[in-house]
Amino acid sequence: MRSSTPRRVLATLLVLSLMGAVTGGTTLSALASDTDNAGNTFAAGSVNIADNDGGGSSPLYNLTGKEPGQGAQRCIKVTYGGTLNGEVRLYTDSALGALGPYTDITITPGTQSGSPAFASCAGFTPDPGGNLFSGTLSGFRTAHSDWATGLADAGPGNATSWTPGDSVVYRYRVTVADDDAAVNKTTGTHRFVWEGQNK
Amino acid sequence: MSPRRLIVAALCLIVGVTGAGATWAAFSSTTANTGNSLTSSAATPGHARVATGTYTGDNVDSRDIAVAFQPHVVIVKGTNTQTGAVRTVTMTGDAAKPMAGGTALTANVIQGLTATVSRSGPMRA
Repeated sequence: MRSSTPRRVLATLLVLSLMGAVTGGTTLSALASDTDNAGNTFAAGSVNIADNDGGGSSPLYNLTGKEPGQGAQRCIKVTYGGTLNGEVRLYTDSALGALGPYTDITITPGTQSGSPAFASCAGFTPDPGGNLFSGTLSGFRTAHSDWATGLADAGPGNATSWTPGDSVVYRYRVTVADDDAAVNKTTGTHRFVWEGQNK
Repeated sequence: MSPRRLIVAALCLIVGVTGAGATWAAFSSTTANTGNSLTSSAATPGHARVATGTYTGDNVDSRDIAVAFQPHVVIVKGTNTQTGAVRTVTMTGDAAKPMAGGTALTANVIQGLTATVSRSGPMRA
């Protein structure tokens, strides 16, 4: 049985429509255009801070039986590394014992000639800016206990910021205060933290 | 907005947010010196502490007699007729001074003073 003419016409129109649609799509794709930007990279900078106490295993001072006015003078070298300029702040987050209010402490930034062993202060020269802190250990703890309250040091030579490779030697002088209430007390063990952040 | 522009905008937003976070938080690094401590003497100059007590000798050498603080002077005197002896914190070696006449420093009586202990040897007969 042969198809009627109308059926043939319809079939032909359908095939032509399908071909038209395909051809139209191809035509639209051919009009698209691309461009790109290659070779992009994004690398973070770094901040690194270290000291010369041998990994924190050697305290600056560990003194017993000290009388009023007695104590020690010790130095530690802090070096700023990484790739970004930054700020360095000093603080202690340790709980202190009963001698804290009767411990006088002076922290002085400076430089040191030669390569003295930790925690010798041989060859130490204070920076022109003078002491970074002078008061009681408890006073230091109360005022500077974390980054937010940390005692900022402007950096070598009282600069505006620390740059990679900078270092500062901090001289610590700790003595028992001349106060009867200081007798037979201890500060307990405590730590000093230097924290650097880029800015 | 075409899908390509949407993707670019989204990437810009991500970069912007990341950049803002880095600005506020910054990179940080810490180093610390730990284990510091300071302990004061049990007695301060001008405010001497005095303690007295007794112990029974056992004729054994190098015996530790504990006190509650670091003594600067120790006097040991027997309850019999034996001569007493004294030792100060500045004296070195095994030496004490008998408290009678012009006697020379004597060994094996009060042998030394430490932070919390005065070491006393047996009193000589």
